[in-house]
Amino acid sequence: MGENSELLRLNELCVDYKVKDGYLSAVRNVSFSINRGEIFAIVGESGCGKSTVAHAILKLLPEHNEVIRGEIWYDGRDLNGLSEKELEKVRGHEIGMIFQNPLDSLNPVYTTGKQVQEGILLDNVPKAEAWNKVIEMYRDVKMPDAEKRVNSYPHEMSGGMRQRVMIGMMLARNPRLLIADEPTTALDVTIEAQILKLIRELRDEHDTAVMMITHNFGLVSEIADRVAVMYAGEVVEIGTVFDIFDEPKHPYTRRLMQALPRTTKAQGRLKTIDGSVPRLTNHKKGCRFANRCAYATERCRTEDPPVNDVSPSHSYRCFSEQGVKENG
Amino acid sequence: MKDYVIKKLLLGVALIFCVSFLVFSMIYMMPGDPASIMAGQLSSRENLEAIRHEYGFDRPFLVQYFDWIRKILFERDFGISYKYRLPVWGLIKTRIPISLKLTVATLIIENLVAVPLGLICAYKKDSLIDRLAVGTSLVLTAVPSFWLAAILMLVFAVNLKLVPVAGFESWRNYILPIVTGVVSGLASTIRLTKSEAMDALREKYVITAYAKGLTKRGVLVKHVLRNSLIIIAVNLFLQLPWLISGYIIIENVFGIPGMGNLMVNSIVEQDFNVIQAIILIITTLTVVCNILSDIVLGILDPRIRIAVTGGDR
Repeated sequence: MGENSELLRLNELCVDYKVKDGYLSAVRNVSFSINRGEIFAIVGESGCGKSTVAHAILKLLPEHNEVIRGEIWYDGRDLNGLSEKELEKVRGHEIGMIFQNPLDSLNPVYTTGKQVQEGILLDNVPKAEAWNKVIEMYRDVKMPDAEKRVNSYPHEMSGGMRQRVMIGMMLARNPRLLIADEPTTALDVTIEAQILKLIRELRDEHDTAVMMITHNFGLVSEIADRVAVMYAGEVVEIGTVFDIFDEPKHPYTRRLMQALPRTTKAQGRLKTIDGSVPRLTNHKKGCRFANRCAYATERCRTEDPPVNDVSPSHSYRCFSEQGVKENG
Repeated sequence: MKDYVIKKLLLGVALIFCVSFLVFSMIYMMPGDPASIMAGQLSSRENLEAIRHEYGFDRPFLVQYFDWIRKILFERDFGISYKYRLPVWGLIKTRIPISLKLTVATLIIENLVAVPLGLICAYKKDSLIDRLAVGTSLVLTAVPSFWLAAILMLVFAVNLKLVPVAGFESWRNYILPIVTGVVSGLASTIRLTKSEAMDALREKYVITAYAKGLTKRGVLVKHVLRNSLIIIAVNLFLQLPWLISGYIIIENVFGIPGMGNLMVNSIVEQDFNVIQAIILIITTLTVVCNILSDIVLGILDPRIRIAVTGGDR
């Protein structure tokens, strides 16, 4: 792990989607940083904006109806201020990205090898050399029969193999950051474990930082160094894996922990969180978790909660300064 | 891929046979007797019988059918035109290239104009150029082609004297008919391309292509256009037979002696052998175009080959 050498820093990142009746605030004031060679996880339930953050970094939001505010510092440059031309040089070359469903993410009409080669060719590598590099990448991602598989079409591969292709494709140009947007959600558990192992090994080998987007806390505990917990477009708590799992402070994080399946029956039924995520069309002040929080006071609904530091690595966004008591 | 092509070819041959049988029995069952048309209305009963016997109309249906097929296959003999008293093949032979020249040129020009336009419309959806292209082409398509043909003829041939009014001797005769054909097909191809490209633009692999670092141009050409081409190419082949029938009117307006022209005349004259031959040729062409489009589809979309033949890696 890099000695606190910062690679990416988001500063008050906001993403609004233009919708019929105004703006939908999908991401609000998200700030965090990722260090070189670190695996950083963003965890939260569906629709909490974690994917939006990931896509906003490279301006890859699919609908082109978004407004991105705030700063995205990468290697001394603010990516949010870059032109499309300049961003093209960052994508793939500096920051790679893999997605949830590797079948949709690969073009069905080209062989997988061709698609990996396409990226390598952008670095003005001769064709033959690029093809050798493709085979080398297939070996790197532990593809069985690498020489043959480069000629396979996406539909001729299993889900795990396709995700390996995606990883190979995105690491082929040696980026320093890999954004992985729920890379194992579409895969079964054994394949998931293999892919996670692969990502960790590649990180160790190439010192590539990984930003892992997931809704799976189990996965986080297994792979991540640091974690940000998101709720309704905001980071509510951030810390090392040990901070978050051993001493969760924010009421939402605590409830999430209680919603995790345990190994023993003694702990009784799983708890769920009542209510649902609010629709965020207008920029209302106040804590976004207030309507589901057992400790919410009047102040929570009218003022933005402050960020409290527990330790240099651990902070959370809540009015309650010591965090809330157990069993809320 | 080889299995796939062979399978498609066999199916095509079987289909042509079925159609030939239907065409033959349709004409056989139709009211009106070729013998009486040839003999004239005031002919005697004996004379009629003699003609029937001479041309073999008194034989059983199936014998007549297989005789017809045998002659077409081995002697390229489609029978005699009752009207012109000439071999049908001789009549059609000179007209096929004229019609094909017209339709193929129309198709190529139409797609060369419509595909790039459709792509631009998809990429710059709701922009001025999108609205202009879609709106204009729609209006032009709604205009009946015989009217458009007449107007074009009036403006460019009669008033401006840029091209000849009618005839088929020089390439300049083909300009107005082709323009008429292109205009009437433009809107549907633009719309098809636009909707295909818009679907492709929404695909996740387009985001992957951007994430890889490809330029906008690279993504548009290598991923969006390439994947839209699958349907566009299929459409191109399937349009061809339709165009030939669509040219019946245009050929008549411009006095071009193509297949459509001959077909209309033959129907009016109840010239059965000619009608049979033309229907058979157009259906064969349709089947051939279908096979071609299937093969092109197989080439352009690797998923299809697997689906049809169970894979031939």
